Amino acid sequence: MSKLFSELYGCYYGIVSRIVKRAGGGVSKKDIDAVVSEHGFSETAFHLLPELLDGDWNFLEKRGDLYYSKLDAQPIRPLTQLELSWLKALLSDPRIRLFLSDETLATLARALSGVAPAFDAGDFISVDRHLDGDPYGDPAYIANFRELLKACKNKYPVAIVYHSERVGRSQRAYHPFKLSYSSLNDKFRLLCAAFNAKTQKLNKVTLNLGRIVSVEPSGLPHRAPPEIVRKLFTEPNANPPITLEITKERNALERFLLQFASFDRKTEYDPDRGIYTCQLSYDIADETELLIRILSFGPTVKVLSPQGFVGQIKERLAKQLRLMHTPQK
Amino acid sequence: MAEFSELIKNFNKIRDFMRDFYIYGFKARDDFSLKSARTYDNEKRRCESYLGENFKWAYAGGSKVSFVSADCGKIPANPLFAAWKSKSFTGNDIMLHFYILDALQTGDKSADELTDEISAKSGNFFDLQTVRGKCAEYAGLGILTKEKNGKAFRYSLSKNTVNLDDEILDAVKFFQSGALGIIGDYILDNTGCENDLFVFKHHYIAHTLEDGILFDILDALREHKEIEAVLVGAKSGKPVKNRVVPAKILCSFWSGRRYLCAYLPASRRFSTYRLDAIKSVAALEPVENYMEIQESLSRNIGRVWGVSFDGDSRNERGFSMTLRIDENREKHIISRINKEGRGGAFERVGDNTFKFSKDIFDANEAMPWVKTFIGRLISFESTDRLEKKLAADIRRMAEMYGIREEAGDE
Repeated sequence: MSKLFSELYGCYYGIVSRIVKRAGGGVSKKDIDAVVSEHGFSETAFHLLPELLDGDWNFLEKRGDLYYSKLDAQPIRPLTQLELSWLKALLSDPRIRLFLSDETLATLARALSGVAPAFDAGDFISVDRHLDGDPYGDPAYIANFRELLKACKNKYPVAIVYHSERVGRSQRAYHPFKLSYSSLNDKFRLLCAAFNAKTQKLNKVTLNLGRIVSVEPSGLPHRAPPEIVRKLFTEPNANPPITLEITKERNALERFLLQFASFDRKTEYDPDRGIYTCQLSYDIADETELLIRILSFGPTVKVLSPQGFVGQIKERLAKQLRLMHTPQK
Repeated sequence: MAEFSELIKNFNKIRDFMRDFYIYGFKARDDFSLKSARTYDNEKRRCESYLGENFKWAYAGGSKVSFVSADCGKIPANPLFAAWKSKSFTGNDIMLHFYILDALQTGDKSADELTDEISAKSGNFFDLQTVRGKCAEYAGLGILTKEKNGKAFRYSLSKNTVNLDDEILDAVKFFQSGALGIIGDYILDNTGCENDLFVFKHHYIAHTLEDGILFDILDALREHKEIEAVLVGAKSGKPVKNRVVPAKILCSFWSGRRYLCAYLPASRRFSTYRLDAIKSVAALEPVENYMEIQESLSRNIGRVWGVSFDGDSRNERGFSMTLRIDENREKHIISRINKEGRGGAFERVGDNTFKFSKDIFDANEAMPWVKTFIGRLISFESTDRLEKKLAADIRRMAEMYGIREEAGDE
């Protein structure tokens, strides 16, 4: 624990490093404030600035309106043994090959040869990870992954040949945003945007990397500005949140809140009824997954709204009752 | 009254509060009954400061409730990492940090030379012992190299490092979401990089609050050591010490929980402990039969559905369920069972009828998954208790949603 929790990695050291770096050529108070505001905690300015500008932390000297660094060089910090041991641990993960060429992998392994890894990928067992995870060792998959990573980084459109069970093979131009990884599905997905051929409207699209046959830079002009693509994926969910009630039975509250911790949500307790009410904001694309997750809680969780969602639960329950009352052959 | 400090000495102090604000999110000031009002106010103020816009509040039942909420599928970095970056330090610590690393950029130096140079350059006086102590600490952390030259040690910036090129940094941007990801985040901070490439689904950011415990367990695991883990009972709130041999870390990406799977030498069996219930870990001596323990776990883990090695009885044989699936139009359900069924047997037993079965220690653990097939369950076989419980749960749900049982009509 003590090795992980050190001031060396702390917010204040990081801010001082950034300010001193800028102060090599002189930095204004306004710029210092901006660094603290961007990288500090909400109250950091009150605690850090008096020490840095008027207190005992003697890193800067004021000449005219600017502050200059008293250090001879730009601040650097070599990697700690802790950081090296974490990097070494990555070498045991098959996904590392998505990022590193054989040459880089060999160089890194040589550089870390004397370092004990922080862990081995085999120390962990994923009890419910899906068994159809992406093929991280497949050279074609690796090549597609790297091409997409480059496109996300440099924000250029790509032409993708995609295979889906419903449509078969199709080719289309996409504007990449980011790669999304799910630990449960053990899959990467490309979050991107594409123009609808008929309406010419730019829509959000999610593609499974495992189904991408090939990818290459698109020769088409860049029609979707990256900022517009980013907005598509960062704007709040437009659909109404799910409102549900959770009882105190079977430790349902804790199980539910842990399981849905990754969602934007708000929980309230009604002491008179002994019931918790939770509002869960969600992406409409995840509705079916959410539905079965809620069903898994049985009678300890009840969905109140939206009515369409409640209707789907009722439909499944009605089907179930019919199955229970139908004599089986 | 002592002045409020944004930074803290002890991580455990913030760990519980941050977890409560994030996971539970409905607790008002009075609900934190085990803590004093002043402790609550200070820790809440810190959480608010660390988490910025992700720390929210609302009025509920006449009380002001503070909570942390974020759509983890949209954020590039874990906001709870901030807690790890809140360690307090002294003025000497930060001064020596920057001046020592600056002075050594021009070559190796003794503690004497460093003391003179730093005092002259900074205008602050440092004594030799303090400088030597900081150099020894940094040599221990791997930042500096310490080499003997005659009677004195000479210090230099560590040469044992790697060139963090773009390929490696892209990997760090990805793996900072995984095990001990805070260390990856430290690397990104140190290089001035941010994750601008990835987002993460089914991402449980509260795991980072357990990373200190996980780190200590992995350390012991690597050295095949027994540990003494202090756990706090969920209901009693009292700490209990357990001597166990750590064997694996079990992760559930469905439930969002991580567990230590450990061997209990006293009772000669395996058990699991939620990482978030472990308060501290102390490494003891290495165990001789460590490999035997690992082999025994390998033989048994296939019969564990989630994390339980105990069922209704030692003779329990798991469960089976028969499902109605339209084999032409619902191939995605067949594929779902294949990928989620944890290696259970799955076969077609008739027109649009399929049977799944798996031999596991504790079929109760599979019940949440079984319930995801409500609407398709033709039959379910397991222990008498579980069969009755499932049927009763379905009847209760139907009643809850106002569906008449006889015909399955509303």
